[in-house]
Amino acid sequence: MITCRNITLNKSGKTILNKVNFTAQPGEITVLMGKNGSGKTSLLRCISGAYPKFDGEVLFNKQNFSCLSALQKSQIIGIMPQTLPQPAVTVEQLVSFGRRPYTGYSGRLSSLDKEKIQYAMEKTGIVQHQQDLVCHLSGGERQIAFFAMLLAQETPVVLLDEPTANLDAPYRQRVFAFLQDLQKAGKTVITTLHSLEDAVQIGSRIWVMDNGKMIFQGTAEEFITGGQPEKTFGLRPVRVFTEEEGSFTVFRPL
Amino acid sequence: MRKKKTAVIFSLLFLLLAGSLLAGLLLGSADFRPEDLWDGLFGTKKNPSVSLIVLDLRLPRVIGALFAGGGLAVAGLLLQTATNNDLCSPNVIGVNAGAGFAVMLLLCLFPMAYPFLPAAAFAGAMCTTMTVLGLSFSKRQIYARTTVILAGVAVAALFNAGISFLSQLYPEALSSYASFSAGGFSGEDKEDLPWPCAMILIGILCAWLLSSRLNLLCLGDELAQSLGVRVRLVRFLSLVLSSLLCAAVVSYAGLLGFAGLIVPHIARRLLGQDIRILVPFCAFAGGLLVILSDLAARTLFAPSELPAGILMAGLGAPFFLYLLIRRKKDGV
Repeated sequence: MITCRNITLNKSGKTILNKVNFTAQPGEITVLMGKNGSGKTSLLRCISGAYPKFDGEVLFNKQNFSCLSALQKSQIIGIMPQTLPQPAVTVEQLVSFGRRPYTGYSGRLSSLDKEKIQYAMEKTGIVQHQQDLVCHLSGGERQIAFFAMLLAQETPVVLLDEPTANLDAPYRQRVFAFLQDLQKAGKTVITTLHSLEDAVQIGSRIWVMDNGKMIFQGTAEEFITGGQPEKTFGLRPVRVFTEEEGSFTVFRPL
Repeated sequence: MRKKKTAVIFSLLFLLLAGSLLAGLLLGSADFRPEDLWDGLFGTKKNPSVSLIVLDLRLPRVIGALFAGGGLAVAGLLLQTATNNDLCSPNVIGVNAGAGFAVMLLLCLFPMAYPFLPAAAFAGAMCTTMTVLGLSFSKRQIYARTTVILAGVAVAALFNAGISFLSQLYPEALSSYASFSAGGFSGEDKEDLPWPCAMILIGILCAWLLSSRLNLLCLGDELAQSLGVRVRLVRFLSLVLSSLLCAAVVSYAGLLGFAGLIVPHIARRLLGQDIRILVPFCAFAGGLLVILSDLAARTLFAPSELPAGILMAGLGAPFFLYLLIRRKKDGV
């Protein structure tokens, strides 16, 4: 369980986050939404420790995050940034980086580490690319390779910043399937998304941010019925029923 | 498969290195056969001239070249990894300019202080790189990649201007400075080697200890940090280690260039990106390159000899251009 208390972040005299409070539960996918510049990525960075200086507290199971070392934090929180690098390492090497928090000073992989790396590659279906360089993969394959690394890291909390940006529909569905697997495994998943359809499809809970403030926290149903799409995004929810897919919600301009 | 390839490459490297070490001892203005060498040193026909040439003249050169090449190549690898810029080399962070300025200053103010040249070069190189690191420090982004490079270029330009200024004021110091700036191992004294070589050895060992963390810098700061790497500390240590290695080399070999650029590139081409493997490879392959350059420098035009640094520059400059053209083709 991740709890944030009064997170306030100021940069160059501008308030980026303003007393943000929340608790994200294990076994839930929390979708963080908001317009560009509303503070979503900054909030994720405060939680992950990428921004070391901010006011407020981040607690993991009542333990203050600021008291933990970088290595301890890396065993609790795994992240996937919005812009992924294109390193000239093989997929297998990349996934093995996920075991770095457990390998000690030498970075030597144990047989257990190797098993977990193999499992992560098989689970994500990237095993056939294991000897390919990450920089030579397509955008979707690269995203999956980084997912495998995240899986190998085995952290109870996973933070993802726009994991489906620039992905086509099949890859997006694969990413959602991974998120749901993480949820079933009892992990605390927090992800930012821009698509409201995707958010209500996979989110157990939805948070909405505006101008650095948390303006809504609730379930997908509460989000749809509470008027948030209209107020914040200028969109109205429309319930659609098809025989193949059943009932789902799409959003249309007001 | 990859392990087998690595083993084959390292075996070949050791064979070449052993051959070059032997050639370094045997070849020169006076050539020896291996059996002459053995007999002259340990056998029944001990020959004082063999002992003098090999042990007092060529052995320090070969050892000096081995450590200088290894030190520069590992320094280049550290710099390229820490700045994530494969065109970066020790010269870029101002090592050569700083060392050169300190040596020129010493030669101008105390023309008879030759024994202190290595110390001055070391101090100049370290002070310059510390200044560059100090200039690159900002609260928001500590040791940011581009800032380090830009600060290095600016400081190097300043010191080069200083060298030109001093050479106008004290033209008599220029000839002594020229031999230092060309770089090489001519007249290498074995008394000068222990401290710099020990420093280089320690630097390479520290680089290897840092290598598992350096591997993760290719993921960018945010991801590397999320995997438990203290990115700022690792980057700072890499830059300091790199400066230390270069300063130690400059102190006895002068301003040798390009080993720090060429060797890490060849290493990456042959072995991939794992810094844990690249550090030992660069240490030995750098040594091999500089031993061979020094050997060529003293045998190609024997009995006269060229400074090894000139040959290295002859090799390195086209290599740098080749890298630039390749990057252009790759659209980097």
